[in-house]
Amino acid sequence: MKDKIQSYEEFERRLKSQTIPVIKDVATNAITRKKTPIFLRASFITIVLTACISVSIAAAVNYTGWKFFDSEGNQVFEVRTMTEEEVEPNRTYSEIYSKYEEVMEEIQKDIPKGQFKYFLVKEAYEEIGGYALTMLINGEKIENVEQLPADIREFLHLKNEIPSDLVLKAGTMYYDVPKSNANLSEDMYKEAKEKNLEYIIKDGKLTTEVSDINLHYESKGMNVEEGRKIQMMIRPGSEQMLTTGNLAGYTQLTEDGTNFLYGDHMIYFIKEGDSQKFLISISTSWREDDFDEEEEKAALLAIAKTILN
Amino acid sequence: MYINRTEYRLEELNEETSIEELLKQYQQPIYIYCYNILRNPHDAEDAVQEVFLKAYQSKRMIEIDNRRAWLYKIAYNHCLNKLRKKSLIEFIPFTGKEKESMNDSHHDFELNYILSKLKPKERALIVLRIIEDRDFSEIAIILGINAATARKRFERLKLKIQKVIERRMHDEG
Repeated sequence: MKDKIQSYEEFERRLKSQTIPVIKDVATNAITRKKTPIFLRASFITIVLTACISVSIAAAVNYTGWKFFDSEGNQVFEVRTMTEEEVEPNRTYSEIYSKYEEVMEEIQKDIPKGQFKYFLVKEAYEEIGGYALTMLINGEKIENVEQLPADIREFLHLKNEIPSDLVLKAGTMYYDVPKSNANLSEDMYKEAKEKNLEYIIKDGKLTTEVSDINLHYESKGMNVEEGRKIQMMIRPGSEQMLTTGNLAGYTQLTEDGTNFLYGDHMIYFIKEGDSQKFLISISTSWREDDFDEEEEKAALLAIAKTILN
Repeated sequence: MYINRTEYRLEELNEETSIEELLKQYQQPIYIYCYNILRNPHDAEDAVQEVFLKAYQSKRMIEIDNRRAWLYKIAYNHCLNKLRKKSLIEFIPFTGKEKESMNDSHHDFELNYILSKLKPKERALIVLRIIEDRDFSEIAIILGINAATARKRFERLKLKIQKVIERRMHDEG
């Protein structure tokens, strides 16, 4: 392992001297493929279009969403790609709020423990209404699972050591925000308008209920450079999750009556009890050249099973 | 018909010559740039392909004066879009709880740790200034901001990196 970086100057030096592989002519190959004679282009385009249409139809049937069922056949969760109508406000939100990232970071830094901030950009409210209301929250760092609420820890059988010789390295838990007044965003908008503010901030107090938990595990007994990492994200389960991502690369697996969604180095599943329901995602950092998808899938399922138990 | 086709081929030959020159000169630098933004060698390779394909297919190539800045701008936009599309995003307002980067493709873990604390836009700026040694006016063109803002952001970024280093030193004892 290389030494710690102790100064900005050293960071610059290490950045300049980092080892980056020299690539072969990947771009030339790609462009050469495009240099087909003109008379062939029409047929090429026809074939590509046909393929695209077939794929699109298949995607419409299989890949725009996944449904999770319990062992009794009841639907417990759904993941689906957003419709264009749903994506639009999300896109507007990202575009507008990306201009305020630094402002939000500054505000977030100084939020006292147990509190959070409502943040609303006037322009965003005018475009997308209540969707524009944002909550800025800081998580609480944890070092071991014993710091998590006992009911969640026991229900999910969370451990400091999990299969594949992984140990908990760090974690963060987030307390839930209270249900906000239905008129809150409108009131904040009106106030921002009256005071001629670009954005408006309002204090909020976190509840004592833990909502989201992120846990990072790393290989035990290997140095960090060689080691592998796992990130586990636990969030209260609702009825569905909408995504702007492409679900085409995902596959649904069923093991012992539980449905899993696997793809992009990640597995999703639901754990539901009498009064608790969580959506859990576990992702890996495995990106080696000899990466084995089957091995990754098996490792993720093994970890998931310790939670489902 | 024949004349049109001949003209088209001549134009295409000029474009090919231009793109080949660009490839020769910028393929590896663009790869390094994308690699540092995406922090993944495979994604960076794909990005290089896409960037040069976009450049090749663009009718604007012949009109562009500063082709280097133009290529880097394509690469910058492509990488940010790729990162945006890559993650599954729940439609909830921003809470500061985004998935943290877990890419493990770098040998220098300490360097990787610091870079993981920076946003993709910040990594792009760092690469252009430190590795590529570009002046702020060119960085400004690539990032779509003005030169004074680029300079200000870079100075702020240096402080941020310094703080990350100090915090890490403190946490590790």
